[in-house]
Amino acid sequence: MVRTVVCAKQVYDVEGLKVDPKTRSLITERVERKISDFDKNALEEALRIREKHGGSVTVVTLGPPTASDAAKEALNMGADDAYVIRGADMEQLDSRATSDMLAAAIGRIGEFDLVICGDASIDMYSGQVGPRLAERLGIPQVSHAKKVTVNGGVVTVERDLEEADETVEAPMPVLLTVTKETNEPRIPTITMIIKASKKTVKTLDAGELGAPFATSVKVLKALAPTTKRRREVIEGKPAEIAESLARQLLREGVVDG
Amino acid sequence: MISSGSDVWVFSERMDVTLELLGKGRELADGLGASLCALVLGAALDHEADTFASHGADKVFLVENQALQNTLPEPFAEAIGKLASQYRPEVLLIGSTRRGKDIAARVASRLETGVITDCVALGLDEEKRMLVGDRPSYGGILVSTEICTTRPQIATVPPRVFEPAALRQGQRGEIIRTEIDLAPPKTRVVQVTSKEVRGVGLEDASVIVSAGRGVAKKEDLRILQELASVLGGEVGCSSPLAEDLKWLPLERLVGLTGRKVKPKLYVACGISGQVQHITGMRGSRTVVAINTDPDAPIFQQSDYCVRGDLYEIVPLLTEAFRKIRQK
Repeated sequence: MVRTVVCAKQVYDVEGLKVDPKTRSLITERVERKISDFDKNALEEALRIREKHGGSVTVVTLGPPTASDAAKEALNMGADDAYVIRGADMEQLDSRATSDMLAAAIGRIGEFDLVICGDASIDMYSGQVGPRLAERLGIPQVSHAKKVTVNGGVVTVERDLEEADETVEAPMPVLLTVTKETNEPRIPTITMIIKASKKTVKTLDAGELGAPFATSVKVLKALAPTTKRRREVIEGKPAEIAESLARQLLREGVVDG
Repeated sequence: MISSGSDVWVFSERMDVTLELLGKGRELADGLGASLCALVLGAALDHEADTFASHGADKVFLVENQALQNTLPEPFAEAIGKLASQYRPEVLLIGSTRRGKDIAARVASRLETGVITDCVALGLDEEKRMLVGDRPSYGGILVSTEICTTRPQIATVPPRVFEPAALRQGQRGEIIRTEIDLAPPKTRVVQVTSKEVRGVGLEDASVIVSAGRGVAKKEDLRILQELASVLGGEVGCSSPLAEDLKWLPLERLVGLTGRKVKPKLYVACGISGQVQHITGMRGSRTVVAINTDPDAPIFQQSDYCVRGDLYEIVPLLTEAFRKIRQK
């Protein structure tokens, strides 16, 4: 029996984002929100562990009111319970406030053996919430898990580091972070969705969890980078274009003569 | 010895990255009128400590402890957290490796502060004594400028962002051996397998010839491959070719969901130039775009714009390089 808590973040589908060329800001209108990719891998891994060893899967998310859609999506995939933490300015939270809030929520939900998070969210990609949460909960962490095996009270993890693959054994409770190589998340079938429709998303109030949750990192601005390019148009017959382009690139030294 | 509480500290489990952090750290410490300190954690690291002391570090804290054997995040964070609680640095730079980011997060949690992650530029507001970091967000579509309002201000910096510190002739920092009690780690490293080094990947290529939807058939990629071969380069592609059509493996994909490349020359053939693709090739020194659509956004992001058919231009370009070389 393994009681697993999965932390999931709702994000904009980054692949659908565009940039306004005038303001250099993000255009988010009509862009779908979804559970961040690696968080879905986290949920999938938790579901597989439950299928093999029994236990439960509880999902916790926080964010703007639309975050309950993410919680619902998690129930459709097969989570036993899904909680949304509600409060003001939930979109302004940094990793510090987020992880502190998640730690408080997990303390409220009850005992657990395993916490699984995505390696990083696909929007901010800081990778800080998982390890911060582990520190707050006073448990070890194993990040970048490629393969997870539960055996009794011990989790064996094959993890992917830049220069090496590492196998680590950790006693539960432990926090894992996973990536897209870990598994292929299931897509809910109609039957699964009908089954999940009886479940309701539970809410937790940030204020009751022990606010205020302080932030540290502030974003001053977020703009598309500008790259100065010469935008020199090369004209002529195809053979002339090729000839002059080749000579120019050699002169510049970007190709070897 | 109690520091003034304004020092700049650097830490990475990698020696090369520590030297790069010392390079930038020196500049920050001078701006703040502070000392620059390197942290060396582990065992038998006298050589590293000596190197840092002669490369700009005013002080090197050397901590040797059994718990620090396998670069596990818990004991490393405990060690750095305890040192920082005692000496109260103003700035802490940590190498943005996977291990480093884990450690930074746990240190920040212990010290109730924040981390500006993956900084590609670091500046200083000297009046406010505030570190200002630029970092990619939304997969590199945006650059976020961030500050950390609590102390210490922690920032992580990926390898090869800053120049390594130079040897300072005749100047040597002080090496301070420190004993710290650390909890034995609960996790155990059972096996470590070094990754085999493969051939030149896109990240290391000096020339990339990249294919987009303007390429009609998989077989036609040969035309691009020939140009790449003449230039000693590699073939890349935009997302439809790797993700939808699967003409090329994912490791050839340049863009948001693929590789971020920085060749000397990037030749975009039949690529329209959506922001998701630009994100992957923005670091290129010189960009050539070949596209039949005169309004293709790729031309805004190119140094040389060829409004023409890649099927005509690319073979002629290959031929032109061959000819020039023969002369």
